[in-house]
Amino acid sequence: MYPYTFIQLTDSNTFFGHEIVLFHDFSLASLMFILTAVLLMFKALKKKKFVVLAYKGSNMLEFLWTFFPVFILISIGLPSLYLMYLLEGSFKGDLTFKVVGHQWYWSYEGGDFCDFDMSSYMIPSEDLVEGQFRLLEVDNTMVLPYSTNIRLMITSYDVIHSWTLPSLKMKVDAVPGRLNTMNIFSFQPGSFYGQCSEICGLLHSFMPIHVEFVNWETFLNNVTEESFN
Amino acid sequence: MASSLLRVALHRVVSHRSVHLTKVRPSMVIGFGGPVQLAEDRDPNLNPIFHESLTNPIPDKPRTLKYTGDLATLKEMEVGDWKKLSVEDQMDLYNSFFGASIADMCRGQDDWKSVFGACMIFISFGLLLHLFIHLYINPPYVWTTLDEDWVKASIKRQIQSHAGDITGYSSKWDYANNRWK
Repeated sequence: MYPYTFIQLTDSNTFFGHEIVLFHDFSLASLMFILTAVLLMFKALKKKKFVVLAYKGSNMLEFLWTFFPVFILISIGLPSLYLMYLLEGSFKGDLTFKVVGHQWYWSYEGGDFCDFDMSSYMIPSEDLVEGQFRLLEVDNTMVLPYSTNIRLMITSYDVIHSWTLPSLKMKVDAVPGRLNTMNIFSFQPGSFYGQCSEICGLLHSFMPIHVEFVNWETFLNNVTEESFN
Repeated sequence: MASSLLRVALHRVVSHRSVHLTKVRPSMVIGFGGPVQLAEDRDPNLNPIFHESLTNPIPDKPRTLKYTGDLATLKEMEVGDWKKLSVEDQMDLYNSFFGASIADMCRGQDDWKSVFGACMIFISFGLLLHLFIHLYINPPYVWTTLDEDWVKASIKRQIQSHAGDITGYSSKWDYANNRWK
């Protein structure tokens, strides 16, 4: 969850989330290096003490301003590719659930473990209780067990949506006619919010996601209740 | 056509001020690459594609292509002994070839002050309009989730659910003593 004046990435609750935060810090360090170097160059050029002898062409200069950007791009690109393959790598899920995007709500279905089907609509601002989060609260939350390998299969019923959980560093596009798979493993119980991240029409900003990670006993009780309902 | 006239008009607005803080050389006022000139005002003896700058200080062709009148006389004297040329003659010959000296190019202009002033005038009009709308047109205040009571309740909810236990509110709450750390 975000404090009110937060500008950083949220705390991660997954292994991949930690890796993503580390990569983000590394990328920002590279960007800060580039920005500092350019600003120092601006400051130095302002003094007008430099005389350009080879102002009509310089092979060494062209080599330098090609090599250094390529080097920086490769240094950012290789960890990025490594992280991408790590996220997409082989993963054995103990539980499988389906997430289906609609205009403009999410629906969650049980997979091999249990059979349930529920829709999750946003609670309007007028119906909120004091202390609840505007545009984030839903009527039916998705309850999952923590410390469990969970496979999510995400698709859409109509247009492209995107199922996002910033606290778990997850963002998966819900594409109609396609099943996108993502794996979740939360270290600890908690309540995590997200919002649809792909423009999908009039109420795109009003279809939030709320996932609660609980212990197995609570999860089984919840799942049983949902199945009967 | 209209855009070039607008450029000329705007430049005349910003370049005519009561006090000229930089010393303007006569050669800097006339010529391409400096202030805008309409085709009918252009001197045919001058190089229309003359350009010089700090990064290209020696132009391919001089500023004056055809020497007439006094300049033609000076050009003939230039062939002979330079000690016969006075300082003013040397300066005229220099100005006929170059548009500005290196010192002139480094000095810079103070046109930015007029531009900055015009921008501030437009910005102030915008701010006045915003103030008027805020005072007389905007609807009365309604409750929001950013009211103090609501924010406090939401922070309490976050602490109860242990949200943000590394860098968020829960990390700053002392659960043992039920107060902020």
